[in-house]
Amino acid sequence: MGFYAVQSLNALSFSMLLLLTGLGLSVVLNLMNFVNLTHGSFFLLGAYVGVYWLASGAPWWLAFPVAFVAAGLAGFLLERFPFRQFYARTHLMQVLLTYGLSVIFADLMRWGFGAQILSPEIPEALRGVVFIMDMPFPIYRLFIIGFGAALAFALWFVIDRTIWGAVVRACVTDRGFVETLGLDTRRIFTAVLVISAGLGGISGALGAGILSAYPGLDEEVLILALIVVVAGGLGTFRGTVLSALLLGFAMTFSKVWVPEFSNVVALAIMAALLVALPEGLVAKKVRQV
Amino acid sequence: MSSIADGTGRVETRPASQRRSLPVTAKLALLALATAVPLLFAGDYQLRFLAEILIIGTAVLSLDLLVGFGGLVSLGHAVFFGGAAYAAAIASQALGADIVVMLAVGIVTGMVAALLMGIVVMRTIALFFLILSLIVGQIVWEVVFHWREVTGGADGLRGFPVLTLHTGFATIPLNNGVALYLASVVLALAAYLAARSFVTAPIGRALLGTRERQLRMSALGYSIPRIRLMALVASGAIAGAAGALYPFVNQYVGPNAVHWTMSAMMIIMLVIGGVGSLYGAFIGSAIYLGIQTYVSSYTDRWQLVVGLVFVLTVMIMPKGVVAGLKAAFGRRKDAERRS
Amino acid sequence: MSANAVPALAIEGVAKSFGGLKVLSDVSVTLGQGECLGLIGPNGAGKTTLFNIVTGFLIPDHGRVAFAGEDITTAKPDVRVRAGLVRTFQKSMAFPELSVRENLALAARSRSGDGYGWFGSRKAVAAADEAADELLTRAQLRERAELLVSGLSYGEQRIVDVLVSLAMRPRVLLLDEPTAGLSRAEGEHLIEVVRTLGEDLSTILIAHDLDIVFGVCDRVAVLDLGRLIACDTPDAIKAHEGAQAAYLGASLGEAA
Repeated sequence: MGFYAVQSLNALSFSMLLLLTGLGLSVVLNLMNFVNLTHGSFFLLGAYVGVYWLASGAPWWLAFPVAFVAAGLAGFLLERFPFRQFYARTHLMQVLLTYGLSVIFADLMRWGFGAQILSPEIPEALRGVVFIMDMPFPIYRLFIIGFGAALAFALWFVIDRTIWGAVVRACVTDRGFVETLGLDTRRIFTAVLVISAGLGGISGALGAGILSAYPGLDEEVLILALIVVVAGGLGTFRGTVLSALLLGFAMTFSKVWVPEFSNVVALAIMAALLVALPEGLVAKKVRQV
Repeated sequence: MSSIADGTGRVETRPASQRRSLPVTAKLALLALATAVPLLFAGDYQLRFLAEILIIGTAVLSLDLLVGFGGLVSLGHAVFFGGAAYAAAIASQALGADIVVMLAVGIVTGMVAALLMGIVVMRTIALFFLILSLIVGQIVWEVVFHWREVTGGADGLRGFPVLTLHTGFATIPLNNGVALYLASVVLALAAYLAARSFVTAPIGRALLGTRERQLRMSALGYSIPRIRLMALVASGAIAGAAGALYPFVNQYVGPNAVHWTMSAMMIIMLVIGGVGSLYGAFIGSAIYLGIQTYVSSYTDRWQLVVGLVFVLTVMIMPKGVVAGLKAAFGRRKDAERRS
Repeated sequence: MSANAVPALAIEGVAKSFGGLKVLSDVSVTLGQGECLGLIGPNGAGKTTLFNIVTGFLIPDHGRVAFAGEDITTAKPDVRVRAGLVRTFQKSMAFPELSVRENLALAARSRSGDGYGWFGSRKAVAAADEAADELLTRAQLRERAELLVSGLSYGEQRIVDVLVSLAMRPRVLLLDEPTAGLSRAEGEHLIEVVRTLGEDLSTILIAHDLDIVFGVCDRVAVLDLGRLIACDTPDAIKAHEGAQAAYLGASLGEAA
């Protein structure tokens, strides 16, 4: 019983990482109709920033805002050039552009941070374990679950329940209309991309405590986040949450039950999902013809 | 639609009588000349390198059928190529490495892999297709990586018998640069002709239709999954033929040959060379592998160079370097004429 | 049409809702062999939805559709098309970047079953091109065969659209506002093309130009808010009160 409770919490903490990363990707995809494959690079950048910050002796909790700012700044620059030129292009062109950029960033980061695996020093306050039904569970993972849930909730609230969110959503439907209201849509898009990149950075700083930071992590995370967003169904917050939970639990429990084939099983579950529901878990209802 | 697919797919639909081009004999002579030049000047190492370019280029060519004509960007394409490479490598231990047998094994493997993947992915489009093909590809990678007894796991396979060609009166060993190069030229040429005939045949025109207007195609009575499945199987056959020769040129096949990053590399090559042009597959493969081989001897940052070349191509020459340079050159000529 | 012949198309008790919105309720119409049936009604009456159900792009919630006596209510669109049940769309669906001949040939190859050929399909290609050229000649557009569709005038594009559907050699043809955006003369020419080229063809025509509908159709069906309120000869419809009300007082008699 305790064993499964702890494994469920493990799955939940991994799902939360997937959700945070996926949300960053899905915010840009849903609100701006832009596929950003450099999102994995933001994650890895945040992870490196987190590792170095925690090693520096500065207040540990600042590591997360700093990772947000670092990745957000990268996002800000990229949005100016060249993302902006590609908003009106097809998904295919966006995929190509941003994948190419992620190849460049991967090599730049390997250059700057080296090729070794870096693990952060977990701060005193988050070290150690708590006992859940007599089974030990790392406090750091509880922190991920709590922090991640709070962030995801805040994001959902802003997008779905506030006037800012309404403006951004209106931008997607009719940019011209929003501009006639005297709002600068360019700035709105910049803000969305910066927030998305910052989210990627925070997820990286959080995730480094479990996954470490190393060249190639960017691609691994990107792939998982893409699977989460696409399998969830494009354009839905709910779908992203559901599919992050599904993938997180599938990956964790397949490691418990069938360690040999864990990834095969988890991937097969996601594949089966997409075969059964070719438009993802929660499909937007669109009338054809 | 300002997409990479703009204006691609027009390989040549006009009847032959209207084409302004060289007569067939002149074309053949040019081709023979182009094939012969490296034989005179290149050493064994360079010829093997050219063979690799042609083989990978053939795999990229097969990807062009899907991306350039069907709008199907697959991140699982390496499965057809790498799967066939493994199949040929494994079969050669038991059957010997007769080139005809190897090609047959590779083609069948590529087609079966494409058929299986097609059954899974044929109903999805766009990002959903991309992700589903990625997932299927990664499942295969996981199997290859963990099935040590057969695939050698992470170490891959090496030490293959010598590739041979049985003619009526003699058995020719294909174990030197010249022979491997010539075999690759024949492979690439055959694949190019097959792909060309595919895109100009009814099935190719139908595939193009599914890329542009799905609704219209079903209103015309075409079954879109069927067209996609056929394109995938044709593409798998060509990729499989290329994969069959790969182990013998590379002298090694490892799990990376089926990894999604291999598929991504093929997409990069395709875009650099020119999507929908068919010939561009070989140009892209030459540029990428050229950078990888020659730039990496000067700096560790060859991936940075590849990335930059790729991003610049996407940004300023979305139809590939050849079309891009042609257009730029043409513009200058126009400007000169006007002034 | 004789009373005991199997109708070309029978729509029986068809209903369809999108969410809570009832778009069609209990619509029954039959189309006789060789008949031309007009389908009119205000915007949003459910005309195009009915076409989508007949051609398989939508499956009805209730009711059935029979084509030449065979139930096709749930058959896939491409299966219906190959059986000879063909439609056009409100928007031109021709491939703008292909030539006129290539557009028609694509349709002809689908009909003859050569649409998926690869090696050795040279004969099929030639046959389809020939069929395309024959249609173009009869529509007096032969000299346009080589042009890209995007280079044609709007009126010509609409005719090419109709020719593409005729290249499928349909037995039943559904025309969804083929004359929209055309001048009166162009519209009449288009209908003329359909009538002369489509032999033994049964058609359903949606058009806003009532003159054309009343002029060419044998019977006219009136849809309003998803209900069939009348289906009769043009003269009877002109006198039908419900039909007139549906058009908000715009007297149908006046239009004719």
